[in-house]
Amino acid sequence: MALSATDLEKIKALLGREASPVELTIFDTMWSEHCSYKSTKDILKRYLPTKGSEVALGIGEDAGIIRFTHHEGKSYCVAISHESHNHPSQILPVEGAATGVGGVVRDVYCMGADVIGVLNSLHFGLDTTGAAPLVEDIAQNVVIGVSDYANPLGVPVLGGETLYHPSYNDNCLVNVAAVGIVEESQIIHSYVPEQAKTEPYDLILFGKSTDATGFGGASFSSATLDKEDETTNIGAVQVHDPFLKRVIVEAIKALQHEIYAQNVPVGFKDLGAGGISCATSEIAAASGYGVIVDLDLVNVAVSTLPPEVIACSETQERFCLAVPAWFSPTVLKIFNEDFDLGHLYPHAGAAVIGKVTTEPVYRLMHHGQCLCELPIGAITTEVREVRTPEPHPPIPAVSLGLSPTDLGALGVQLMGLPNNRSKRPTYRYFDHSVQGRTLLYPGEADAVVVAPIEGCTAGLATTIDSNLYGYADPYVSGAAAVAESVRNLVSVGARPIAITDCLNYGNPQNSHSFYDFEQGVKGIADAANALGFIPGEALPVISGNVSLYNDSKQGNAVIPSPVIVALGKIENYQFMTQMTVFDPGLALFLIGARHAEFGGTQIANLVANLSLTAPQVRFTEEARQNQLVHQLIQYRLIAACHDISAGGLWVTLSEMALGERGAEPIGIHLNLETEDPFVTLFSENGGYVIAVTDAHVETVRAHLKTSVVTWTELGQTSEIPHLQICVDDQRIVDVPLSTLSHTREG
Amino acid sequence: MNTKPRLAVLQFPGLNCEYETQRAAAFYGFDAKIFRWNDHVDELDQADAFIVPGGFSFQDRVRAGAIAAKLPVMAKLAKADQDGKPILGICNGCQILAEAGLFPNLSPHTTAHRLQVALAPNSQENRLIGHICDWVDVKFNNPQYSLFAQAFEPGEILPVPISHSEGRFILSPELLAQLDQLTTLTYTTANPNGTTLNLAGLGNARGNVLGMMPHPERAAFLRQIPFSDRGKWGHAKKEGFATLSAATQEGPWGRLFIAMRSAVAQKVKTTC
Repeated sequence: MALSATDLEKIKALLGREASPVELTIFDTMWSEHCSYKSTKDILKRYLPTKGSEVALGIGEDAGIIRFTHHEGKSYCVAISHESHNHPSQILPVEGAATGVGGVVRDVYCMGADVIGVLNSLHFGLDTTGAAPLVEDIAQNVVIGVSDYANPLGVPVLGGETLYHPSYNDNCLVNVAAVGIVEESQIIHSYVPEQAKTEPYDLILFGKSTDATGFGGASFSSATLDKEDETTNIGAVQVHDPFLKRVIVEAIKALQHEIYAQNVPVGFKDLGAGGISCATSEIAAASGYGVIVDLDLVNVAVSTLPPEVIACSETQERFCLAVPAWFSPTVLKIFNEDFDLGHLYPHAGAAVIGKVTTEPVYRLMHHGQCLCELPIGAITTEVREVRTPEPHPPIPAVSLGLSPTDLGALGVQLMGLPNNRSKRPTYRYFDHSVQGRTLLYPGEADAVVVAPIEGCTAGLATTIDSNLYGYADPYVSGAAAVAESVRNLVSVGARPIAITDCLNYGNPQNSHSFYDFEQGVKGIADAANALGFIPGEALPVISGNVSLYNDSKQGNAVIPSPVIVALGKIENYQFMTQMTVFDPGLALFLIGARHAEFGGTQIANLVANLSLTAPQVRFTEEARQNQLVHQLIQYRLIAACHDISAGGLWVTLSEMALGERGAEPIGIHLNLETEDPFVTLFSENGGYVIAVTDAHVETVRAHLKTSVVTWTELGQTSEIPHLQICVDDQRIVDVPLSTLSHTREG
Repeated sequence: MNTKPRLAVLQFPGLNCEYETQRAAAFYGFDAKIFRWNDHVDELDQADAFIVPGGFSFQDRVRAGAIAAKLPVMAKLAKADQDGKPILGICNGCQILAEAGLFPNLSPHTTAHRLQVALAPNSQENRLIGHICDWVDVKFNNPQYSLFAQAFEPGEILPVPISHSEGRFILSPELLAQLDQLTTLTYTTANPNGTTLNLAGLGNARGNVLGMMPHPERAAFLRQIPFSDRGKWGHAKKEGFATLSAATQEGPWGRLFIAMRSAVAQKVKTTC
């Protein structure tokens, strides 16, 4: 248990008596950092913009919802949830990653939405010394875990990223997001509806039968990983069953059909951290009701489970419903007879396990005994931990030393770094086309695009992004993650409509870690305030998650790692743009100024004595560049577009030439006018490369000239399958694409 | 009376491609209904054609498709096969039809089906390689033996996505010897999963059943083709998007559904 002595005192004062063991387990979960946000809530509220004219449901329920498009008289919305499953994935990579996906999709399903995709951000260790032999094994198994869940569930992976850094050696990061579509009028809320005042409401638990898996999961996620606790921790990891979930999802669809047809007011919530105790208390407490749950009525896998395990285990694939009592038989029939869950998994199914009460008390009964009797107010009491941020000693900024001479050789070496290698071997494990809605596939562009609504040409673009700037500058790390995710959407022709954040940091009791967290949130907030596309509005943060304690007693904390998912809209998906240059003779333009800021960049791994200022995000310039590129795509003037991020212009151009399959035949010839080709090629400040056909070059040039962005003409695509770079007509680089491809494929 | 032919899309527990399959079939003129595995099986007598779509029925326990192939509803499919109705198995559906012996079924006049082909886990050089999701190119061979191959150009290269963990065709020696009497679907791009003779799909002797590992319903519309496809379909997508005409254009595999529909129409004509 993670409750401190002070916590125990507080609980005693709150109840006016000693808490029972089951009550303590409930407090342990509800007051954990994971569930209560006790260290972080105030900062999140102070900084993050969460409102916007398109927000249908902001932060507070299981998923955030943004309005997406109108089609045939209906308002369609996108629901999104973003979670981390870092600790479980470090202990049991396959199960940890799989249940990460399993948990986040439940958050979206229970809003009444159908999940149309998931995204993942995977941060793995980098073992250069042989001291962390498990790193590669974890990386491989996490990928298998994600694919083991998403593929059988039948949801495509609509984007992902893999980052490598030694700070993740003892703590991999597995962040997953789920995206769903729901009609605005059919959004289901995560609380008991007000009708429960006047008519009897039942609580129904449905899904997998309750077992002992995942007991203590939430509190284990809220502590530093300790190798010595490994055996206990393994028991805290949940076990996934995407097969059963797939059938449950079909049953939920049938249930929704009945709910809408009969216009039944219901509350719907998934079971995650804290299991039955959390879900049933939250669903009622959120609207001020009480609950009486009889644990004897819960479908259990084995009859010998102690009551606190039934109440608090985190068995996967379960949901909780509050429905009028007259509707309960309909629900039971759908799960127990129509979809016959009991024959697909032992004791799976739906059961009425309790009742909603108007008396605001949360009661758990077992064998006729009351194990828990808490005033709802005590459960929902907001807890706070005051943490002090303390800045790090500044990293000395080093002036740029002599530029290396052979930039071509350096560039090839850069492509071979794990962060810049092709991610094809990873995403090939993930189904990207199931559901048949994908239009722009992973690896083809900066974002994936789907057509989520049958018969409607609105395209939904999705991207998930983070970076390795956190060590150099925790503020930039947050700002740059938002800026990159926005660029990724703009690059495919989408307008950003909402973002979510998952904030991965170390132990908040460490004042430096807490400083990193606060700076990251500020960076995200400043970028979100600056980069919205609706005049006068920020880009709203509609869902999020905080994951602290990403450090281990055996190693150090992870570098500050804020992860952003961004959603974008393309009015007509046929306007979308991809990144490969398919034809020779395309003019290439660079948009965005380059600066000698190399802290946390890829090239800093290869070249010593670089300025260690992290690549700054210049919000006004970024916003102007975004608007311009978005406009040029709307005017259909761009043949290919790719943003500049990790690895700089060099990696951007290489990827545009190599394409998704890694072997396109079109080369690139640059004629740079620059004082310092090293900075031009390897700086990672935000920007774009656009490729333009002959027919549109004059128009694009005219647009650029009248704009206020920094831009340069870089050169052209060519029939010679090489990356060639001249500076003042002097050739400084000539690398065959096959060499780049070979290095990039590893 | 101009009624649409009725298509049953079977839904076993764990399948997950029933909706995309239904959408594609409906677009190409079928009255396509999803039929749950434990619904009243007699309703299936009304169907003119069948698709067993992709997914992970019964969690791929034992072997992909092995358990679903033993369910009571499969007797209805065997009956439909005897009647010569078109039956398409996609991905897990292909595995289920193989496990049920519905293809290649070299002795169609006996009701006792025998397993002659199995779909084994993906491997390269005797090493298991796990799940693969990728776009590949395939073509039909001996198209004259299958109603499904009738609408394609001879030797036409067709882009299509695969997404499976167990797609490696293993054939009995007896079947290998008779392969030239069956329609086959083969990969023309690199063999992705170690499958025998580049096999991606296989018909039955009667020509009314096809099992294929790739997903035609995900390449039934032009918009679904990747820009990175280097063949004519990739070009067509770029063209279609440039001229804003691609939203409802047919993709390479629309003709599979059209061929199924023609076969149903043909059958109705001959029995009338």
